[in-house]
Amino acid sequence: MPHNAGYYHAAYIIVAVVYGAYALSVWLRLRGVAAHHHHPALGNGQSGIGNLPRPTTPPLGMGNRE
Amino acid sequence: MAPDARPGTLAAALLIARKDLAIEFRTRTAFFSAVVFALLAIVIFFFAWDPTAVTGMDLAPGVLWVIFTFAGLLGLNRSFSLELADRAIDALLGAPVPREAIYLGKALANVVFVGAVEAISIPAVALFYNTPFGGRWLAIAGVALLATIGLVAVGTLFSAMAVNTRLAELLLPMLSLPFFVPIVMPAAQATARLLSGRPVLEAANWLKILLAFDLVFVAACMMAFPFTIEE
Amino acid sequence: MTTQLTSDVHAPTAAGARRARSGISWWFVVAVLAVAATYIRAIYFTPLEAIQGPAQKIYYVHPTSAWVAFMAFGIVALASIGYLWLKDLKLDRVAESAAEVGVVFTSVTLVTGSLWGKPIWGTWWTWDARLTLTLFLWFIYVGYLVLRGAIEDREMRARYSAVLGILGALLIPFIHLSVYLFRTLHPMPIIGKPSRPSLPNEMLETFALAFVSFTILFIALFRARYHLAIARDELDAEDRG
Repeated sequence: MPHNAGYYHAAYIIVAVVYGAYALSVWLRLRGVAAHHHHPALGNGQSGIGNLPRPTTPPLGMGNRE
Repeated sequence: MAPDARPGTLAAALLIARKDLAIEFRTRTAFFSAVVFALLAIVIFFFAWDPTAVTGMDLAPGVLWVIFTFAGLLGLNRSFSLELADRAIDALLGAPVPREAIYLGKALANVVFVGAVEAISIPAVALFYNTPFGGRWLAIAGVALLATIGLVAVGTLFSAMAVNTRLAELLLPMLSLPFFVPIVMPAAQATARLLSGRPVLEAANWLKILLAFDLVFVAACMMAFPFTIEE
Repeated sequence: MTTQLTSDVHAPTAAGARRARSGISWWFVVAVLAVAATYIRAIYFTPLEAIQGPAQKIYYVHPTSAWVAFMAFGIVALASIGYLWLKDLKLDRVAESAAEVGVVFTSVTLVTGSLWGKPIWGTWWTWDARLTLTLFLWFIYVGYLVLRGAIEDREMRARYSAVLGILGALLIPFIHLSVYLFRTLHPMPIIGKPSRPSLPNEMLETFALAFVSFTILFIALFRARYHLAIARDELDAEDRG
């Protein structure tokens, strides 16, 4: 029998780490959105990959929070 | 206003194609840039090539089709950026022209543009790579036309979308290239067979998938286009 | 506003704050337990395969991720059609969430496939039909997500993404056909791919468990991501208003 257990160890670890890291990223982003509800000055996020630099004119209404 | 002054879809498309090509012909910068880019790329590939490992006949189809995709992307980029100046697209949308006609017209202009770049690149490759095309010019032109229709069908639609985003120059290749693979592969395979003197029928088998792709995606992109310019 | 990953993010009381930090959705709990069970079963309670060796155990996580990756894209495609038809932003959020979770599963599929290929086929990569198709799926996903990130207008983002989602789905069969034609006309060296004998029952059971576990994991991640999408849209709407 070939001694190739290392490959499947690596695979199982990667699977657990990647899905765990993704779950963590969703959770952290949810918390970030919640924080913005309390601190509106922090600016907007966007769906999709990453956050691109915002255009120079901010949308109306930003900063006029309760 | 004369009754029923709305042009039919095809007539409108031809008008739009003529307009785009007239603008292009007047300035010619985009066309020259694409041609020069293609020629430079052909030359670079030449110097990157080990002639003892690969013959010109084997290299040429691949080089041709890689260059066509990238030169094509250059041309497609300008297709809708033309309309950005002074929001010219608003005038186009205000005209009583069916949306599909705008797409067809732009695509037609792009086919001419990309076709012209190809018309110069193909003899250039034959010259620089010492691969005589024999009597196969017409067949190769036919393959090139079918493939160009596919490239332009997809590229025109994505160009319309990309121009409205922040990353237009990155997005157009990123979105289009996966779609170019089912075009470039049969086209390069068919060109390779034609160049190496195999019976034309062998190349014809590859053309079936090209034809299928063209039919499906010209229809799909034409139907999708109105969604990209909805107001 | 409630989320499914944490139970209450607006935590006006200390108790609520504690609940917010510790509350976890049930789907998630089940998913983690199921995946853990799969791991334990696969590692300790499933026999080794004599010819392929221990590396064969990747088989329990690789095709399962692949199935989820393609299923997620099916969801993106259907939600895209639905959005263009009904113009309901809910469907766009479904597509957005399925795409993001899908790209993660696709990436895992590619990596585990590579880790499987090296010991079993002797090479880190091969242009075999399924791997190539998965690679293209990855490219389409990434293009989809980059497109979304590059459009600020909510409605345009939904519309354009939907167009791309549908076209991407149309592309998949053409890629499949292209790869098939390419391979039949360019016979690739047979890299000693072992034939698939029918699996003994224990392996089949582990595989079935893995299949179910990762599907539940997908659902859990999808739901969380979907709630993030809702939260983000609400936030953007408030800031705009």
